[in-house]
Amino acid sequence: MITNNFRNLSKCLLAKSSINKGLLPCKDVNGTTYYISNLYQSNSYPYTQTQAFTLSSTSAGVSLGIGTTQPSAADYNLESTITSGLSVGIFNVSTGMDENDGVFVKYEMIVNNTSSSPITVREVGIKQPIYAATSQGGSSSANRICLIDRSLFDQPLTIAAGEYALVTYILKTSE
Amino acid sequence: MAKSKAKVIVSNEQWLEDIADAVREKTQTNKSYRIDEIPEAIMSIPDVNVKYTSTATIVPYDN
Repeated sequence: MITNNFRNLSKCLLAKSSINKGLLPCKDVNGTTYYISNLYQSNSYPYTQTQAFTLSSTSAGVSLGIGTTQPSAADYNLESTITSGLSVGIFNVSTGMDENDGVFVKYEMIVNNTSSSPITVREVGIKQPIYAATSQGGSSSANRICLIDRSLFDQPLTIAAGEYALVTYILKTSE
Repeated sequence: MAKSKAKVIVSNEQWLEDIADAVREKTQTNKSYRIDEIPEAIMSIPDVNVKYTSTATIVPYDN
């Protein structure tokens, strides 16, 4: 589910915000509220950027987790990020348009359980930097790592030790 | 705006014809509107809302 961070990021496309002028709120992965500033600040983008898999719950990128709570627009991080025991050797990102003029971004990755125990994967999310100020209209802006989508897998999967899984994660628009 | 019963479709004013065409296109009907109805007709056009959805699947992979 797209989070309020992404919704507000989209709303800010209507207005050219000046650097260091926070507008709508966003929450970083720690739950701290900031205010979205310049959408085009270096390394901060008003769209999903090509990123890598990350085991860090506080870094930008696609993460996997074991959380089971239904996603909410108010989510600001995965419920329980898997921080060890997984590695991703192949990470592909593609974008395009479907037959109904919807725009999509598709993440595909091959995940390897490198630990000695089974790991059950239930949730996935994308975090990205958003340039945001500490107060509305404030000037103390910096890139904040913010969750823009969190989804549960249709069916969770337990990956046995040493085994692999294919993750397909698609965000798209429709009217 | 003055009330008028003249239908836009028979107007010889090009700008009115353009509006009428736009209304017909947006509402997908051939209905004619009175001049004083046009603004209301335009306002009644449903908003086009962009929806975002996400789907995630994970399946075993034979490496």
